[in-house]
Amino acid sequence: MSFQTRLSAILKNVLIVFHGLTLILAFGHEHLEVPPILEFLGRTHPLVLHFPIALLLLLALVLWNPNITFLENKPFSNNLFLSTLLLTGITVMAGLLLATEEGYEKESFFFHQWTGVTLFWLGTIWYILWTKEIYQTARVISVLTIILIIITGHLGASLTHGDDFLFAPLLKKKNDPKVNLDEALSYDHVIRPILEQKCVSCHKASKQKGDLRLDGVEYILAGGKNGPVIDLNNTEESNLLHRILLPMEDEDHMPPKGKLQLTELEIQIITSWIKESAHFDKKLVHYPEESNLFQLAKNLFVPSEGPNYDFPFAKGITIEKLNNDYRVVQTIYPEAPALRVSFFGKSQFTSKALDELDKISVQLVELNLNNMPLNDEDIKKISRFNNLEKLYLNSTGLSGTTLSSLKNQPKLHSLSLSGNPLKETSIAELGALKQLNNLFLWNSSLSTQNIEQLKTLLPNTKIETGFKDEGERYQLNPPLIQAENNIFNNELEVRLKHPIGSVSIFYTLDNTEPDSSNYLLYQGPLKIQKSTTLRARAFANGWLGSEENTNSFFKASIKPISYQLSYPPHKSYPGNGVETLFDQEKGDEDFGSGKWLGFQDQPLELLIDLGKDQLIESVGFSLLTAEGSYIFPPFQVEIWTKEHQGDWKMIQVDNPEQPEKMGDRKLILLEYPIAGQKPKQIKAILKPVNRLPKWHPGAGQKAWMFIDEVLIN
Amino acid sequence: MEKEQLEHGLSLNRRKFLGKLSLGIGSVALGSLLIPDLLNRKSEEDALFAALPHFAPKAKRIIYLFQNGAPSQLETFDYKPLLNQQIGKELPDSIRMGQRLTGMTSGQNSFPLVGSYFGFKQYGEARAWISDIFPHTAKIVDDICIIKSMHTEAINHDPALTFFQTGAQVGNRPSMGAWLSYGLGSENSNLPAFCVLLSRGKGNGQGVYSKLWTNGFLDSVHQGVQFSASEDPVLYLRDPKGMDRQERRRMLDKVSELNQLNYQAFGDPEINAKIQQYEMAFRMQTAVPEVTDISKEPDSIIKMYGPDCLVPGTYAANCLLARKLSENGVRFVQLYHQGWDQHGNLPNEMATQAKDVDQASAALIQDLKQRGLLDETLVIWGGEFGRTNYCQGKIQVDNYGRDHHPRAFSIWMAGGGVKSGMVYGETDEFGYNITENPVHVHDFQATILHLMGIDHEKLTYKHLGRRYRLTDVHGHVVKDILV
Repeated sequence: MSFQTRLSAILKNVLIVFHGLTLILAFGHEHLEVPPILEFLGRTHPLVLHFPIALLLLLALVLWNPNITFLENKPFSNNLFLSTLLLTGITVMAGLLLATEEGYEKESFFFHQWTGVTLFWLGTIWYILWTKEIYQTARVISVLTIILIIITGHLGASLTHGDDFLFAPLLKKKNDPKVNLDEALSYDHVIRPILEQKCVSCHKASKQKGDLRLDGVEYILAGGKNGPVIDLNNTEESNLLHRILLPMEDEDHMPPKGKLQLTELEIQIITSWIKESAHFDKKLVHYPEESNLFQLAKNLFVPSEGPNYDFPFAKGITIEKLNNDYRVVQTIYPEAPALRVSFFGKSQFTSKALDELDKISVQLVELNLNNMPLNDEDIKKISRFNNLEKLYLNSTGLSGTTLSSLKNQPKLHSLSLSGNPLKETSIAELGALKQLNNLFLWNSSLSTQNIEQLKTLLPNTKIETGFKDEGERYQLNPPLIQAENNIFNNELEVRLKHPIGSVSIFYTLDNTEPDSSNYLLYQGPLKIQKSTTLRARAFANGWLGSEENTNSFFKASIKPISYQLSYPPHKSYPGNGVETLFDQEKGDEDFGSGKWLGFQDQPLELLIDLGKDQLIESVGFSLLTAEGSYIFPPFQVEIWTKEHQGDWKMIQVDNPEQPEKMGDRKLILLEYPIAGQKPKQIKAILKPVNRLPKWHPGAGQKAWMFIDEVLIN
Repeated sequence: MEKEQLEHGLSLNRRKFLGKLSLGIGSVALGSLLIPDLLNRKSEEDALFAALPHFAPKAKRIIYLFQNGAPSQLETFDYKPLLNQQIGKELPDSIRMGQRLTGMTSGQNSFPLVGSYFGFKQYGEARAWISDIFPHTAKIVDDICIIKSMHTEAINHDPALTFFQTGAQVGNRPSMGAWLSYGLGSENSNLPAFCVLLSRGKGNGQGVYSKLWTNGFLDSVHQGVQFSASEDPVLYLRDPKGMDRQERRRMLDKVSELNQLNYQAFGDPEINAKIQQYEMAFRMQTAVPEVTDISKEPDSIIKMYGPDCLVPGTYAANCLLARKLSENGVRFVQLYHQGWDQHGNLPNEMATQAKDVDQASAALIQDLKQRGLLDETLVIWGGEFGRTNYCQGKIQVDNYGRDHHPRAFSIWMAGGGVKSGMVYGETDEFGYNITENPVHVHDFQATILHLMGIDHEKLTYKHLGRRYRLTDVHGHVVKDILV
């Protein structure tokens, strides 16, 4: 006997044994007690099942073509066929053993089991027919076998991966309507899809592993044989959470090994859902922004709202053509067919630009024509846009006599007509627009009675009439004081102005408050010839008098030929050095402007050279006080003079008056007459306050001193 | 023969090679069907813009009334009667909790509490407390949402201001308006998308610098354009003397031709950008005077905003101009009003400051409302941080000061998808710590972007190897205040 023949005999015997075992397992597996070693064998089912599938298909292919050479070696072919059948048997038996483990859905398992067993039988019949050389019948049986392989394989896959596993990708798109973030519910749209995909295949009506169903809210709350899966009192201890968070190796890990696992994101979503009280019907947007669930799940949805429109999109090229610098056509939001059109630049507007919108008359929902010059006939053009929702016609010059033609636009809910000279007849026209929610009629020439009448015509419309001048007297703003400079040599022209043409401006030049007893009425530009403080107020009918505006003008008729500082100003406020003091540029209250010199640690010691002996009337220092910013007048001022042929003489010592409480920022002038002196040189020493007074928040600290100009007359 | 064999071998190889190659390429082509963007892969930026706005915006435009210097919450919207009762008493350590102080008061050995010099009353449906120096704001209380629980990280003006505007305390990040210009572009191509208006009150002031409206690393077209109070609101826009509009047109056409040649030679997109900018400036020459002309405003507008609105450079004038710019499609109008830094002399200075801004701020809301524009325009009023509940320096009932306080302060927002007639957030009895619904600056920024239809996590720009956002890596949308 050849090796092949002997092998054949053995294989045939084993085949018979396998058939016997298969019968027992198939009919009696519900009563089996499976030892661990067999459990192991059972679990090889998914591994070995691929061999019989491939080999049976191969055999069918080969045996259908009797010309293929290897059939010549019949013993070899015979043994190959037998081996194939044995592998089929092993697969079937392993499958039957695996089935004894808990948790397979009975119905689909039933079919898978019996198609598998039948497959084994059919294959054997095929083999017998083939060995008897009854080829015709063998072929018929082979066809049946192949069909059965496909059915069995598919049922097996459904068992492991869930129903519809194969066709899900094709079916999914149809059954997955996009949900808006605004509408998404925590359970229905976030948790349920995960459970359905990953858990329900084992926990549903037809297959209730652990007596648990996860295919409905009531079943989830009911729990399984191990008690509730979600513990609402102690969410973190929930069994569901516990099981999905167990390590993969743990026996109790869910979904079980070999099944499709939850992704990291899905685990986080379920975890945060349960930890955040496992709400079943809460809208996602009602979770707080910082909620983990909200943060994780929000990206699963179409971001936020946007009303739905049922009309078609306009062509991109149409929109592009309509867009220009003065007419902007935009979608309301991406992926919406609705359009908003705005017009800009009234000088460029012609009503022809409205005609051109015909191509998007369906899509146009917002139209902004504010400030464009319209005539009443243009309203009829607008009335063709049937889906219009918002219409802005502020300050367009309409008289309102054609407005009723908008009544056939059912969706128009907001109409702005502010700033138009509406005629009284427009009331009836507007009264026809019952669909409006909001109507804006500020400054539209309608009387109070007109508006009341309109309110009765449009009881469901909110009519906004805005601000009305009810004769309340408001305070005028102070007049403006305009001059080329605050410092001048001989004479200065000063103008007073007010933006409201009809006001009267009163002023004083003697640093007294302008009131009825002392004022001068401004009638034209003033000529100022000496250092002066000008104070002015504005008055007009229907207004309260303004607060006063004050400005001081300084005469500095003598410009020295040279000057220098003994100590530099503080490095934070260096201005333009000593030049700043003679540049005839007055600083304002902003001491950081660069027009001021600041002194703190060192005094200002200024040496002035006039070039020759000159008769001097006075020396003045323009300073700033700002108690809040620690800026005080100097504590002491010394003035020294020296004639060409003489010695230094101190002619002035002064301790300027110091503030006693906080006040506003003030520009002050310290002016010292120098009677009868004809100096060539002048030296001025201004010492900053060394210790701030007790009442000041910075009591004891050094004060600042700010100076912007030195005036010599 | 050998040669023929070799040639045969070669040609066979070539034929084989080409044959296999076509098959190979065919298979690659087939595979590439699964990668839709393989051959026309969009750049990151294109992909970003295709998706903007990310969802339907509630607000189309923003007007930000920045109160520079930080107005005290305790004299505006956060009413704390306890501070009046306990005036002069020490701030409890349990409240201060080791809060970092500025150098201006950290040396004080006493922190005496001080209450508001001004009275407070309740207004509107929300019964919101508003101080007596804001009578006009009190009238619009049903149109605004007061947030009493803002907090920030910076304790000094410049970093705090920069933080509010750019999302970072230091550096040259783009300002909020620049981000919006970058993300949403201009609505009206005849005006800049981002305009800046400055004004100054009489109170102690803090500087504003052009870095606050910088484009940062974004393209320079997104920079804020400062409108000045002078005769030329936009500098260098006017044609020089002796040049008329036709001449300007001809010049621009020629320049444009030259630039086109250059573009054809080099293909640098910046050249195209330049041409666009010239054209925009040309259109601005008519658009700006049209917008800034207030001569046709009715008298009632002047009464609403106050007569100061006729004086260029005042806060009131800027509010009126802001409305006009916004009405004309400017995406982001940024106002700054200086003078709110009351370290001392607070009662005096706050009264003056409030008088400057109260009427015009309220008028702006009312004006937008009566034109039907408030629901699509977001208006924001507020400073860069709050002020301490204790006195800086010597305390007097009618004369005190307050130092910087980042832990709690108040702002208000109106229109543009924000709930109206609402007070959000709460502070403790001392007005020192937030007890309810804190809103961080990044939350505030995220909310603003959200209202404009932008997911703050998705509006990014790649610079120096990383993607930047206005909110850095922080920020949550404050959904409670959304309509």
